[in-house]
Amino acid sequence: MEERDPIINISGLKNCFGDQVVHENLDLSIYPNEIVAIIGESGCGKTTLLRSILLLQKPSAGEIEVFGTNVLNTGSKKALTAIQNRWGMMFQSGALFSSLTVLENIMFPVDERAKFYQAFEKEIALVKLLLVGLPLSAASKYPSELSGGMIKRVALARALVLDPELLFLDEPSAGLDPAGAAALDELLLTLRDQLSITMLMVTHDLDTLWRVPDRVVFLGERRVLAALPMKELVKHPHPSIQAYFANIRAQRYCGHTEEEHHG
Amino acid sequence: MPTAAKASFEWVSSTKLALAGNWTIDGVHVLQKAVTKKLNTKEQKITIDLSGITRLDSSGSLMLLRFVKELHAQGANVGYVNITENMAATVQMVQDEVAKISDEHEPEKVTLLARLGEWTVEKAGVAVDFLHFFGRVTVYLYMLCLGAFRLQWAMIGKVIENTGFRALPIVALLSFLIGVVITYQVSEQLATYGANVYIVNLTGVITLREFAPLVTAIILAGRTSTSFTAEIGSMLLNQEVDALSTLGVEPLERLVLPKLIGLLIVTPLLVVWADLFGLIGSMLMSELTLAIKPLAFIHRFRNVVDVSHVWVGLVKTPFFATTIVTVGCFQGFSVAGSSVSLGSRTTQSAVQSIFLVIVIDAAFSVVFSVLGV
Repeated sequence: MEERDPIINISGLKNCFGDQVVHENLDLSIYPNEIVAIIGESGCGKTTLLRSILLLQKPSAGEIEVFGTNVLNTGSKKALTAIQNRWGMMFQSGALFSSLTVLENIMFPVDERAKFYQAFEKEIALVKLLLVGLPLSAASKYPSELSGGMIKRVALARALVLDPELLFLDEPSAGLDPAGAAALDELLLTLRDQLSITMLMVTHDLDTLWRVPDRVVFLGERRVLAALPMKELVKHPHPSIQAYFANIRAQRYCGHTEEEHHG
Repeated sequence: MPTAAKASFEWVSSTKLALAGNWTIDGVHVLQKAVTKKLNTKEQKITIDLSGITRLDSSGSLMLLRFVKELHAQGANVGYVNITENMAATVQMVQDEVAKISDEHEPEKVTLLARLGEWTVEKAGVAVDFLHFFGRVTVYLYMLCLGAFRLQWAMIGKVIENTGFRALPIVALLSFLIGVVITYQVSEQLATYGANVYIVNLTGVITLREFAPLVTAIILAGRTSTSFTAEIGSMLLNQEVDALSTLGVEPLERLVLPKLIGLLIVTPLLVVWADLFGLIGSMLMSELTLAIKPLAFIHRFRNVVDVSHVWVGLVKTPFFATTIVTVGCFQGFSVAGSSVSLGSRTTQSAVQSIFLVIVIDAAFSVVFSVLGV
């Protein structure tokens, strides 16, 4: 996988909030068709890293290349839009447009992107709505009428509606019940296989971490401490990583899974 | 870059349809009309060749399924050739979901009459809710007097600062300008009769009785009532109001009472402030248009304008203050669901409180004229 050109290439990234330095000399490469999860202690800048790539947060220093183009300096608005059309983001709290219905929320990116007949746009949106496991009856509801889990699904449907090549997910399974979270995990894997979507997610969900990502990036000390498959990461000797997995909940889970793997 | 060629299709023979190009969201919209116009066939069996497709996404699959559906409708059986495993999976995935689509998601059509009925019931409901809210505020105020709650002096102080102290410049400026405008209009009429000095009687009475209280109340309604709505509304959306309730703090007591008490204190003070600047505006304009010297204006003012006019102006202020706070807070607590609702409630708060302030002022004019005050 590593021989191919990376889809995201970050080098020497630095992010500060006032005096507080969140990232410094951060390097990271994401390759096509892989799913990468970012973990780390609270406040280590996981979401900030996503926001930097998405150009929602201007880095103090460093280079970010997405699809081989430097997104910090694309030259023209058109070049930037071309990149933005190829990625999708699912925000942690959904970030649905509260004045639009669920269906209109999902249709919104399609309507902005291409000139389709209303009926066709509706059908595209409905396909994605059903794909993420929402009932048809949800289509005409407003975001304020939805439960937390449904908001997540609508947010995912909206992020997926353009069939992005690159999908960012901020805590996709947080707030979902275990069955819903497991279904979401499977959905992400299916989507990756069928639509060749590269995914970069921030998550704390250990079930997801074991099941979904090909590599897990551990952020600490303002940089990437390790980027390894989960099985190798839990054995990494770095004290921060050991501390992260040393708590009872994580250990119970590691033991459980390793038994499964070995036995 | 997968933005190369648009999607296209071609009849290679009468039974074979070859697809080509970029069957993605950027490519397939050019085919929308073709689906119904260029797919006529009389054959029983059609094969679709996908070998020319560079990329197929779910929008492309949806278009492909429309092609298939159209051919089916004309009585043809359709099969795919040269379809990669990935493409087949994508098409299958979309097909599975399309099969589930029904009209269930369409919202019900509502007739005009039904909408009018709904609107009437809703408005009546709002009126009842408002009275209910007003009643609860009154009960809480009474309980406060009985000593059921501690008075939140710090919060009251903040309300006084925000709604009173910070409003001083705007109230001063607007009353001054209103004073200038009235004096200018009236002085032209008085000058024709040579009744120049009566400007003092006229502007003095009208400023003290009507304009100062009204201008102050309207500024408060526009400035304070809306900020109360926005504050309470966003607290509600952020579940802060729920947090207060679970801590055993009655939201109405903590959020509304300090505002009410604060505004009851602030409004009369602001009216006196507005009186002062209204009269200064009037005094300066009198000198310009009617050549009445400021000292002469003040001297005559003391002789002809009775202090009772100040009291008449001040008597209205508690009613204005209560209206502004109640409407602002009621609208704030009525915010539901989204930021859109917050916006519309804030607008309604301004409109309704200004409306009610003017209605109350008119009611007072009628009452005073009957009483002969």
